[in-house]
Amino acid sequence: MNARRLEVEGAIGLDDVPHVRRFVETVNRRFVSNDDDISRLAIATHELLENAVKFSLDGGASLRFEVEDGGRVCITTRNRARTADLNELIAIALELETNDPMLVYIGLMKRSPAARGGLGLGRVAAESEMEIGLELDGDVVQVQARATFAERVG
Amino acid sequence: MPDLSTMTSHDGSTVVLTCRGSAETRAFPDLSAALEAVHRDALDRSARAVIADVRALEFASSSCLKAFVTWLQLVLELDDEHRYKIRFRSNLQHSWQRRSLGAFAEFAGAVVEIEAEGA
Repeated sequence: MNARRLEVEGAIGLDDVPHVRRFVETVNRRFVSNDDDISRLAIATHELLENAVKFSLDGGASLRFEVEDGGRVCITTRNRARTADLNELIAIALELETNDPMLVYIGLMKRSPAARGGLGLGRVAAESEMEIGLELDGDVVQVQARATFAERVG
Repeated sequence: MPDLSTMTSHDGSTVVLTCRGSAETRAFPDLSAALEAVHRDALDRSARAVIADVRALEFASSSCLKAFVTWLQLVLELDDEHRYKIRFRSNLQHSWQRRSLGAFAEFAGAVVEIEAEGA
């Protein structure tokens, strides 16, 4: 897998998210060795960007998709968010760090349907099998998902 | 990728829900309404099973997965007399289905069954 980077930034709408996912999926077909890994990356890209858009305070969000030599992938989103949403995000990230991601994901499913937060971060950890990291700077939150994927040979 | 479409049919007392296309987040209200209608239909018919045929469902966002989870929760909360099975017909060529439906089975093992084809 060759090192590469894709960045999207600005006033991104919810309807833009599937287009970004499909573009990432198309590019990854050239580099990633199997369909399951391509799907895992597509899911992670979609869910992280959708969260960033959905919880953005000002309508702005960014996504960076980076691949290092050796197939290490890092997907990063940034957005401004309300304090209540930041606290919710921190709580989920902490749970994912200290528990089996699948159990956390199932726990998110059991929450009230009216809960504002969704399944997205849990899905990235449990289904895409990526490590979640969080950094805060005031009301700006940066979410990262990382994992290593097998390179396509030839 | 085509938008989500849903269709309901019947095979005896079994309700069959067929989902096609891509279940993007903006399809959440329509999907929720379709699943609520299927649930009512299944109860009206005293169905023992509902088949959810998702073989042609190419993607589902987590918002749409949440619509399915809400349906599973409704079925889990039924008493034994009214509870029905939800049999997902899946397509292994859409590898997200193995992961997402596997999570559904973890969440609601008492009512979820998974059939897979397309290996």
